[in-house]
Amino acid sequence: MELSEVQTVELLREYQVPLPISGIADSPDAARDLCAEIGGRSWVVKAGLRPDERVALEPRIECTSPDAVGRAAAALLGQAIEVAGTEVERALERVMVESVGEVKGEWYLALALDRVSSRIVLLGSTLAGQAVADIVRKAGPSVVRESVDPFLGLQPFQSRRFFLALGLPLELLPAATTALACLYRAFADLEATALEVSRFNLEGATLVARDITILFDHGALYRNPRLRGMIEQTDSTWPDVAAAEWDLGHVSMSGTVGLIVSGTALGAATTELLAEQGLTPRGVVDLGTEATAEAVMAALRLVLSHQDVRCVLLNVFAGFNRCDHVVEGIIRTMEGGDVVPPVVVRLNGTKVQEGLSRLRESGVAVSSTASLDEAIAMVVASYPDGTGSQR
Amino acid sequence: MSILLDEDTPVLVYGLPGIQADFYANVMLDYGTKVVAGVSPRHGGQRVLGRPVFTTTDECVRETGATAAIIFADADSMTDAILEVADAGIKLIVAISQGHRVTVWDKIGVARFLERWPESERPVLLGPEASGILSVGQAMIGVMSPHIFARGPVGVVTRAASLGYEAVARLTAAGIGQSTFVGLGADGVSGTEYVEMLAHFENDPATEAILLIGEPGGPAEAEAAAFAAGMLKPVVTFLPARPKPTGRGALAERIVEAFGDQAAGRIRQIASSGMIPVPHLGELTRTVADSLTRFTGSGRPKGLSQ
Repeated sequence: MELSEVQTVELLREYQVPLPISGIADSPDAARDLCAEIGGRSWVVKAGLRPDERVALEPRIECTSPDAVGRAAAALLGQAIEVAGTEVERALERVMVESVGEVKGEWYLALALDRVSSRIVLLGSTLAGQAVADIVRKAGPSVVRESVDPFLGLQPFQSRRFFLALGLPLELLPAATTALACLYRAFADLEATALEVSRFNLEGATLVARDITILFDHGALYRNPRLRGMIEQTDSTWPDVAAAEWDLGHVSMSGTVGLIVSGTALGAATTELLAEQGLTPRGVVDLGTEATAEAVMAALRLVLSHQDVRCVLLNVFAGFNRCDHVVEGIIRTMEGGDVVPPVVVRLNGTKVQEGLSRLRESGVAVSSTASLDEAIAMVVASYPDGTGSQR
Repeated sequence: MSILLDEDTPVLVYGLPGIQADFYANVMLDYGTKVVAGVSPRHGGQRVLGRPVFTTTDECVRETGATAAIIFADADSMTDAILEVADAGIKLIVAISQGHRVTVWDKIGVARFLERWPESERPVLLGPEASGILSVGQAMIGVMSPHIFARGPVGVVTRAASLGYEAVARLTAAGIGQSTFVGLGADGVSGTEYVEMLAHFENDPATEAILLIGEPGGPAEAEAAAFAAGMLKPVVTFLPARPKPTGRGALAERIVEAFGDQAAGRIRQIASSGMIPVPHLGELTRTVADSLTRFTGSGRPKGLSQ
């Protein structure tokens, strides 16, 4: 789960992280006028109000004058954005303007949870503003790392060692250590899985953390209602929101099969079997291990929201899942009408007989089987012109 | 024979009585599992399914001699339950979280707690979010559907519950039975790893080949590959690649992949190891069947026997 930049800044401010001064504008004129209000020597214009905007648009435009800020805002405002994973388009309505001081130094830093070692990885580089993959490629050996014990937390000596290795001037150590402690506290408090500060800047005499992304364990959202509320503020057609609501995993792809599975690995193996037949999923929705009828309905809505889905394949091998619960969700969706593409249902495992019988008795128009190979054949048969052309 | 679990293993069900616990305890009993008691902080003193329910795991272990446990608990109480059961001396723990998933931070707490035991005495923890363990024809502790299994020579260890069942169903349909099935649980933060299971299977007379199901490129899989190279029994591995999403991947994974403490371990290639890869699900039974012909049981390294 990810937040928009505005939300991220709002959250981190509470943790006393040193952040840039920024404002929000809904027109080029308002953006230009903001410059005087927020001050600074230069400015950055961002489409930072919704998480998907960062993906869809140029993430930041640097400007050296208020007029340039107005032009940048004009270029961004009104641009169409495809809501991630759907065909829904909407116009960008507001931009974020950040003031930038005199930049005297730039660093990259990130925190991430390493599941294998059960430690937090802190890493830093002088390649500010770059993607982590590029940093690894270009600066692999020079990247500075610290391993943090989550129960002791980040220790000040580690911060000092970290910043000295990054070449931070000695007199900045106290401020940098404090800033990093604030970031770490936010990371731990919010049960984040990753936090990236693309630009940890020295501007004038002060440190500023810019271009921040935080990712959350969506399994932890239930005990952080505020965070959950923030994520729900965003458009409900955004797949991640629907996915979080029902604890569904979602991967968006470019094919035409709407694939719903129980478990990511089963999804992966099913995708490989489809590929053998020349087919690719449009999206893979993972029901997880304990899907309710409502979750199944949400998953079906999610795959059916893609206009280019030509066939739906639901593949559940139940253990803790129960085929009878899954079938309930299928029947309720089919009886609700408006399901255009053919639906193939493969069920096996816990309560499979009950599930398949109930499905067949209901008379809803789906093809069902207990065998995955049969199900794949049914999917292939639903492409009367062959599967080769759809890739 | 089998690993870790047989028909004489005394099992307690933590969370009994409860909707899910009742349902799967019945499945376990039907399968022949020696379920001796329930533990419930709120329902101690009752009898459920003809078994006593204790308030604490300590008392349950004292009274019944249980050595294995399955825990049904909500995500919020899961850490407490696992710690209680481990602290009472239970050495085989299957943890099934209900409702929400257990948070990664909580799982780290569990992992740290279990480190108090030296590796040789550390409890085996399957989960949270595991499918459990099933020794075919003997006993099961878990939430799997027993009808898909058949007795035979293949030990199965999987991180993926559903794909594990799929593989087992295919083996059974092809007339290839299984010895013990172990579902480790989804994300490998707190639970037991492949390597420990491979070691058990290597020593199990009933197992002639092992099927390992996981994810390509994972550090645990790489570690398993290195271990398998020194084993006598063939290890077949099915590691389907996760579908690549359009758009950007998860930042956390990219950072950890690049910089995690175990990053170096990922470089090792499965292909050059002692494991035999399954190219795709359709080839699974053939690959396993081929591997069974390789194992001679003579104590000579595999591949050198022909």
